[in-house]
Amino acid sequence: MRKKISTLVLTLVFLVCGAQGAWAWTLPEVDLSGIAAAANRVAKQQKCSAIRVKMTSSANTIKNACTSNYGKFTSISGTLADLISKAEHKKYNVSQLKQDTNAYNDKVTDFKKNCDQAYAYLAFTALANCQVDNPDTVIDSLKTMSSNFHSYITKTKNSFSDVRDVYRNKVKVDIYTMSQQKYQE
Amino acid sequence: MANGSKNTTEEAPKKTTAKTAAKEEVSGGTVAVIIALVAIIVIAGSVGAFYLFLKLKKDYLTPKAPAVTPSELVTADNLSGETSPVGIGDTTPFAPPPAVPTTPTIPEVPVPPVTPTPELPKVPEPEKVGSYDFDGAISNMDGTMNQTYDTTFNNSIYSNDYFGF
Repeated sequence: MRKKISTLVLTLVFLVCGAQGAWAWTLPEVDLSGIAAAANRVAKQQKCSAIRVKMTSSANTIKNACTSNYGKFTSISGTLADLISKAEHKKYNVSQLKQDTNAYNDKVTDFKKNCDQAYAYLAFTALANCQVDNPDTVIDSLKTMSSNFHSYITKTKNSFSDVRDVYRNKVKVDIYTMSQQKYQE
Repeated sequence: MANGSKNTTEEAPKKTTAKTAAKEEVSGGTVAVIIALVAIIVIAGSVGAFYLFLKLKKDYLTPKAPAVTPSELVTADNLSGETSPVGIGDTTPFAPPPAVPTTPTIPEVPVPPVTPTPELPKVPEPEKVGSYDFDGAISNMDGTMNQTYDTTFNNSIYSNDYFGF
């Protein structure tokens, strides 16, 4: 009796598996290449987004650095203007200091201009939409943008160094020289 | 008679001769007197001329008070203070104001010529200026400059590798 039941159950199992197998043979074929392309597209979108976020963050970092440094440079310009005014009132010869202070202010203006250009160029990265546009196209444009941005950053850094050089090598020297002029109460 | 007349005629020349001699003596005295008179006249003339010179000098070379013009005279009708110049036909002008005493002219004291002192070579004197706290200003600006930073502009961190291309 038990043998009969076991034989029956096994027979049913085989029948079910066989039926399922037969049904499986009738399913449409899955396009594995499409899945791979889709997976690749998702991966590129993620990469594009990551690059875009990084570049946008860098743009904000540049903007903050420019704002902070420019504020300090202009603060020094104000101090210099005040110093020249008071020294002139006290009959010091301030002609050389005036000349070099103008050169310093010109360098500060150049620094601000390069800063603005670098920030404005990098800010375009925020407009890139990695989800809608073709990620490859977006990444290529960001790549080109990054290369050009490199030159803007170089100019900004050079102008920063120029401001410091004029201050340390000219303006400060002028002030020290001026302080050696004979004075009386 | 003849002798008498002869004598007479002989004495006559004698008288004439005495007269002539007397005349000659008078002429000598007269000359002396004339010379004396001339000398007196010359001396008197000189003294007179000198005094005349002094008078003229006093009259013309000494400055006088300005003359009062008729327009400055005041009539008796104008004593109340109204001033109206006296016309030419006015008969009762007041006496001119007392002459202003002339101030004696002070002779100019000759100024001795100033001999220019030789100029010493000028030493360029430094311009006198006031004091200013330059050290404080420099310290202030240095402190501000030291707060600036350029590490953000290090272009190596903005390379393609940094962005992950």
